[in-house]
Amino acid sequence: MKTLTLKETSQRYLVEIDQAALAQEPTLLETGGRPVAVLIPTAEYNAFRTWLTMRQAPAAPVEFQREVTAFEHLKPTLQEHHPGRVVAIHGGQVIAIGDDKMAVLDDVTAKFGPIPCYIEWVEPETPRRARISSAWVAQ
Amino acid sequence: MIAYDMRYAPPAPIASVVVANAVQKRRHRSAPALLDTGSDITAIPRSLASTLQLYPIGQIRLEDVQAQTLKVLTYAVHLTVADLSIPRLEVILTGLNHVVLGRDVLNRLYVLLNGPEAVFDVRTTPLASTQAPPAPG
Repeated sequence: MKTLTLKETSQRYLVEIDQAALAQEPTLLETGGRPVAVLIPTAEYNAFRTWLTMRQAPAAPVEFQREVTAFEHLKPTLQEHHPGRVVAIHGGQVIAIGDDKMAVLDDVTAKFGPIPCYIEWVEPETPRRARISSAWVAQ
Repeated sequence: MIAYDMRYAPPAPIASVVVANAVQKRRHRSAPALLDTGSDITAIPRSLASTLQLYPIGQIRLEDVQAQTLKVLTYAVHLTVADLSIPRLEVILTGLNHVVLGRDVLNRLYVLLNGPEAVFDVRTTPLASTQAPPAPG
């Protein structure tokens, strides 16, 4: 890792920055022989932000995660019998089927009340993708 | 018409929404919401999910600026904006302190953004045309 030393001065000073090196590897900034900060390439910073977001996101409750695992286990059979549809999984079983996630949630709530369940599309690639571009800037 | 929020740079159309637990609607909070046509889905502050005691119902893969995806939990809320009430809406959580209204909600509304005068309007009924476009030629 490259190290840049910062010195306090009453005059304006210039730190020589090798842009190519900055884009390739972390650069340590130190003052008085002590490290104060690290400059990292943008790609690494973005990866760090992604990791941070993941770390801050609430963990899935155990019962919910159990239903997700059950869905993954049932997926080959579901793709055979209910391709393109939405299923609700509770207790490891399919308890509702429909064509819209919120309609399936309605169905589940009406039949069983507010129970933990996993609602997902029966598609080869799940979950579906989504983008929230304003959050990119804010993060 | 509603004034743009000048605390954002550049100024932004921020509407007021009410978010409630989709099952237990007595748990509700009002919150500022950014109108974001670039977002596929609506997002609410993480703190709001905790207040409303939301429980996850699904997952999506959230795509970031690098086109990398991250699996996140989704929740069902009852959302009210202007005179539109959506009893069940799938949302995700963010670390932002405002709601992000995505196209899943905006596509159900008539939205007028008057940037030069820094005002906007959002309704469920067609907005009166402010001025007819000039005739060609």
